[in-house]
Amino acid sequence: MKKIRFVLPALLYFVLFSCGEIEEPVNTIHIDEDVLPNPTIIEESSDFAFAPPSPLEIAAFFKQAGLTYDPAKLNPAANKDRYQTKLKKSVNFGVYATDLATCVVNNKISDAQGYLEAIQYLAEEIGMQNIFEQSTISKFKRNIGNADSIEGILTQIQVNTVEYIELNGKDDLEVIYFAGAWIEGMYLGTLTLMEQDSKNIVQQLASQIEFGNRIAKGLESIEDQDPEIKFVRENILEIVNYYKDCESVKNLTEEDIDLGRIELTSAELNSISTLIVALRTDMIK
Amino acid sequence: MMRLNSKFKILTLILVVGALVSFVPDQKGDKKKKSSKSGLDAASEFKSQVAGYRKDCKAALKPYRYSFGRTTYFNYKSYNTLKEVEVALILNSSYKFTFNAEGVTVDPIQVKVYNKPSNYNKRILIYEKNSASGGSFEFTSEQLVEKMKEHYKEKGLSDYELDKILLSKVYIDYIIPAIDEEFEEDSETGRRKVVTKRGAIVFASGYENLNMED
Repeated sequence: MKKIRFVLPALLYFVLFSCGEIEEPVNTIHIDEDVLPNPTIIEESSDFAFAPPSPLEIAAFFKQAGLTYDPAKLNPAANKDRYQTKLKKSVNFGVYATDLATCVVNNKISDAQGYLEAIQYLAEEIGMQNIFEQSTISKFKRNIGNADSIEGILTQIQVNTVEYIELNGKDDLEVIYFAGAWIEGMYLGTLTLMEQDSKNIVQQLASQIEFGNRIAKGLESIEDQDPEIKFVRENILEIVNYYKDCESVKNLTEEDIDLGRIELTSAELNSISTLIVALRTDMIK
Repeated sequence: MMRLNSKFKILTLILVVGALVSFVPDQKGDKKKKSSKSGLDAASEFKSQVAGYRKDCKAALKPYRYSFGRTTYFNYKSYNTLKEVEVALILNSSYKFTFNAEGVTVDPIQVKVYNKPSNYNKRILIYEKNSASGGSFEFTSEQLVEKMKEHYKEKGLSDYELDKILLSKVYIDYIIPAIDEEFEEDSETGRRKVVTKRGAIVFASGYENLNMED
């Protein structure tokens, strides 16, 4: 054993230095460590790092794209009493936010009032009553003839909602509310497609479908994964994955997407619409 | 009997004193939690300051109409970190994006905006601010689309195709630089712990609301 201890280092010494001085390989690259960029570590935000368009913008887009106003297309405000679970209340808070915006951009203010009351009711039910100032409803009634002021009131509710969520760390509530607004936005988008044959709507819808991924991620990060949350998440993912697997989408390059070259076939659009309508029907019942 | 009684009294006294001591507020802890004159702990005080920055950020959107706001909180670490915010846009709408960096109180952060998320290799850098700390800054969606056009023009696309460029989403990356860690003694455990240095950047988006009045 002692011999090995002596022989091994001697052998290593011999191997290393018997060939004379070790020459540096010709193609060595010298790296100055000071000029190396600092590696950036991507940190998954604990918060829901997503900024969606406001319901007013979504509603205005579909109106401009040619969606005709019909109260039958919206979730009746009277349904507000049906929702018993926190998920259903929060999802429909988002659904109604989009419906309210749809009424306002179409200047159907008397219908809008019902939706405003429904939102206020659900906000109280989910502990977000603070987003409504005491005077909101009376201010709304005073401005019934002034669409711009009504839009201003809606914008203020949006500001208050974002502020409430940020101050109180209600990320869980936020993602469910967005899920509701997303579902209703997608639903109105499919209705617009049925009425109008516009390429622009397909681009917007395609872009909106992709937001679904972010919402599904947000839903996944909710600690209390009850079956209702799982159901919504799985259904949103089904829509997103169906879209991604469409033949018309699979082979698109990034350049195609940037240049608005998405063209879905009627069959693909019908299948996506069916999935959206099924999820929306389930959420509002 | 007398001896037993006095022993019982001493025992009772010890228990009462013990109970009282356990209910005396932990002044060290209290001092730590309520560090400010307002009685708020440092984190809450910072949050309420940031609420003020949010108002400023929203006000800077004028004349655009508020669409959404997002505050990103971060802690400086001993390595660079990145936080990303995905912003969804309505196609062909005109947006203004405002930022308030008053909450960036330690080292300046970098703000980079791309057309794709950070897991894409070939994303296009459409806005960058290398040193955001204090103050505010802003840009519009038109500026971002121009950058996209420049990128594709270099690739040889025709003007006809360049006019079709769509910006449906943007990704705001906040790159928080590494700092040298500082340590302090934990008043509760007596152990050495890293001093948390936090920061926040506020973002708001607004859209141009030029619809014809009915």
